[in-house]
Amino acid sequence: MNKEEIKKIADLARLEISDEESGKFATEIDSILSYIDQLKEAKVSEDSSRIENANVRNVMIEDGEPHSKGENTKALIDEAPDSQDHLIKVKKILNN
Amino acid sequence: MDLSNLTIKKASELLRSKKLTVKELVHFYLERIEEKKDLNIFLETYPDLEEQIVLAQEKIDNGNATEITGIPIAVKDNILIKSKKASGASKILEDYKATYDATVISKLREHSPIFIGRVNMDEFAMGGSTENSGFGVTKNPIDKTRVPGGSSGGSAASVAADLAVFALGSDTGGSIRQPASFCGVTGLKPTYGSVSRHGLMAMASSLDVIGPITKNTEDAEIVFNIIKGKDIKDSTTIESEDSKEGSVPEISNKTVKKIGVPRDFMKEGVDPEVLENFEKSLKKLSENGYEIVDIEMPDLKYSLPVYYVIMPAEVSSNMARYDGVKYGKKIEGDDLIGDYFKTRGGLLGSEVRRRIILGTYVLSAGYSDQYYNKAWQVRNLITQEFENAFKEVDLIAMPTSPTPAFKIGEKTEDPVSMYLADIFTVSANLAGVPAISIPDGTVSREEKDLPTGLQLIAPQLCENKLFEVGKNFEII
Repeated sequence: MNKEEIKKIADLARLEISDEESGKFATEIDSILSYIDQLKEAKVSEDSSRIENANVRNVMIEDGEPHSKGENTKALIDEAPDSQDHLIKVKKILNN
Repeated sequence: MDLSNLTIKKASELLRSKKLTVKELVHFYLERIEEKKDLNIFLETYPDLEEQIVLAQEKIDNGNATEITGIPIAVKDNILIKSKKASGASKILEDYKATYDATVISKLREHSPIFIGRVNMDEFAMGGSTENSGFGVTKNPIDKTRVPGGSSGGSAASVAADLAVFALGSDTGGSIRQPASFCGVTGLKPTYGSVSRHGLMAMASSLDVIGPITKNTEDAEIVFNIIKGKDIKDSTTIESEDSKEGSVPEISNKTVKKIGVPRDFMKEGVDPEVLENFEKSLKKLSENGYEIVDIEMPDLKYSLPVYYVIMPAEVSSNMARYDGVKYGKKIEGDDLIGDYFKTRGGLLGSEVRRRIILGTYVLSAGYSDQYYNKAWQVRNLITQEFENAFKEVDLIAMPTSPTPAFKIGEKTEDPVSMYLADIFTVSANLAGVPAISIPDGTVSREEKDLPTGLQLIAPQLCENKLFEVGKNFEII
């Protein structure tokens, strides 16, 4: 791992990162990855699927009316850093 | 009246026999919290305590009290209580107020305990020392120069220092058991899915579970029986064995006779005195009728590397929600994407960002087979290994942590050495099985007696076996 790779990943993860910190992360993540590399020695059968655990399955719930319309709107919008007229406010996405 | 070391049982008897009022009990703890401020355990005591006290006292006076009515409980800062602050010990949620109750909170609320305040933790539960909190490290009540463990360090320290009768924590890789062991209290990580995660800030969703930190096993059982159960708001919750229709399955009904010890797994990296306490505990158990046998679990050694792939992968997905748009704080950028970069880069702590980067990397194109998919395959092997072991033995025993509480700052510069503190706890999360840490002695360091913990692990949904042996262990 080098600084540039860390910066590229931080970019994908939408994290601003300083030059100094990307250097520090590169060293640290390298040592974590070399620890994780033990996994290569673990013997798993070629055809073993990723999720074969019987407890992991999709659970569906019926659509219904869980609560009346607008019941939680104010409380939820109040937690947004920026709002206007009961809507969350963000910066313009498209330029003219 | 001496109110130190109160258990739920004892406190409840005092309240119900009218030897003590709820107000007196709560004020005892509030004064203790004030006295112990330098330990930095509480982030806040809640502003509505007087109302809670009135409600609980009414219940007691009307004869409607249960065991936890009027009992002060500390809540880990990643569990939501409606209209109260919950920050996950992160700057990004510093002023966030929860808009609903977590399921565990509504279940507890029916009994009117006293939610006395929220306690410190590693930011978004990432860490094993509480040093990663956005609001300063919590100090171990037994030795202020040492960490209380983590991530539920505030929860464990609050119970150990008599600042609450019990606490709620969350456990993703050891975050209830390891701090319980470091602080000399009892911590239960329930079966994955036995307790609803609704209203718990998600860290690694396939591993997270809420559980109690208490003075003893009996209290852990009381709290677990209140908070467990299927919840329509968490699709991964499962029915507990005793609430299923029909007969209780044989596996959970059998009394514990045989306890297995995976000795090969404990050969390296364990403090000799911790191991000595562990052997003494085994001897005690064997002298009291339990058969202790060696078992082989050769894939256990992969638990920690598997954990450090799956956990950051899930972290990187779950942390995507903190973008400065929906809730929490925002740092202004030049445009919308600039807001994201500045907010996340500026307000998430370095451990959280390190894990997001690691998780994004192991999930990225070209690496996901090598890391993420392989880790899941090995996770299945480990789960299988537990299932096989439980065909031979009723419980598995290991130390909770390879060392006693370490010094503040000792491991902050070396993430891998910090991660190794979880070596004995992560496997129970990977396999989804329940585990408990019970105090089993102390080791002496610089004239301080630092607690160690005995960890017992049971098959899925067999918490009753942990309680059975735990309660016996405490009296022998």
